[in-house]
Amino acid sequence: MQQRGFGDLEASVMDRVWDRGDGVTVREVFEELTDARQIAYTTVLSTLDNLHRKGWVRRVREGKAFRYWATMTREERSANLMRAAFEAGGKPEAVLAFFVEQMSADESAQLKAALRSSGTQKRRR
Amino acid sequence: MTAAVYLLAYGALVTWLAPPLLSRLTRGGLNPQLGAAAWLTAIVGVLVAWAVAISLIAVNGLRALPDSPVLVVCLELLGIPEQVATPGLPGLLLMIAAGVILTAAVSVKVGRAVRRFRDRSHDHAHAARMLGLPTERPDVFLLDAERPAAYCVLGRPNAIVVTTAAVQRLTAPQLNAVLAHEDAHIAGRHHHVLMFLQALAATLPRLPLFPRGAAAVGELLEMCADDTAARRHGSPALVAGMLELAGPVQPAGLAVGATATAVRANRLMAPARRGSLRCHRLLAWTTIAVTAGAPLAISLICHH
Repeated sequence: MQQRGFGDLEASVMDRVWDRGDGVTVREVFEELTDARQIAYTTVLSTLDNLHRKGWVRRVREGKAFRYWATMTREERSANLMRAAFEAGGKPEAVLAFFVEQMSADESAQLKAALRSSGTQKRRR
Repeated sequence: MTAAVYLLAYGALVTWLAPPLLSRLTRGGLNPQLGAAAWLTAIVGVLVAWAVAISLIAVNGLRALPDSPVLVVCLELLGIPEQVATPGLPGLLLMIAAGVILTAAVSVKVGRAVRRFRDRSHDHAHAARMLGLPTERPDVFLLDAERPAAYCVLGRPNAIVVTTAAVQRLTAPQLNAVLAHEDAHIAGRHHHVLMFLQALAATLPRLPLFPRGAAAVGELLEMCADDTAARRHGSPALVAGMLELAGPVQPAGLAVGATATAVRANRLMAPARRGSLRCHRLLAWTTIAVTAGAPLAISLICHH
């Protein structure tokens, strides 16, 4: 797995939340992240706050601090995202267009034949 | 004032007559960039003609009241007798108010729709960045899904999503061609254009130019992105990638004729001859010139 870029702090923090099933505190995330990069405690605090606002984590007060849990597992959220993409794809109101939509079996067979013949022509030349 | 009447007539003419003509012009996907430009010229032309007409009515209408000689001459050109064509002050004010309110309402609705699309898109890009596995490219994310697919979404920053099933099916050259296609969408700001057109289509679905324009430009921009990708990685790799990623036709939809994907692939496999491309280019430029030139001519003739 590639290392996340510096800009994707939210993603890095969320990875830590998902990795720990029993919830995390800001301090725990900060201590884990500070090994890999220079980061301020308050940055982690505001990042978790943002994630809370966006509905990615829920939190429970524990003494002076909060403990954070993911609202959905990574798999659930990932499945939701892909479902949204596939439901939206092809509709006029969609904000994304798939590289390709559908093709009939006949069209697909014809194109495959055309690709093969163009390949052999090139080799003959 | 009379220029306004002609501009409104121009707008109506383009709104209802341009879609079938432009469809014929751009159907085959020859010169897709010019084709998209022709649709956009018609759409922008109608919007500008409408805006200018409303402003003219508002400004000149109040100033040049019935006895203005310009008004009379130009109205006679239209074949309207002077008496009928000179509305009283209340009628004029009513017309101006209606025009301005309608324009404002449409603008607000289109603006809201654009914002809605943009927010949804940014949310999707954000989620894709959070959930996808990072790849060698900082803007490409791998998402776990059984269906093969690739797409890009606007965000801050943008994201290109490729599903795990897609990566399993594609060879390296095919994947590069697919990514080049998505890159071309982002570099060409295709999504920005489409969001605006889709917002217009959603706001004014009964005016045929807008829904049909949005759909046609969407397909043409796919072809533009195909051309860019094919130039860099060759048509065979791109078409092979299309074959791997295209799903089977849903049996429920009684699709008559070729699917859009097959049209794109065939276009890449059998490029048009140079002569017909040149002919088509001339025709497209003429269409664009006439569409853009007509309102300018109207303002020159009637506005002195």
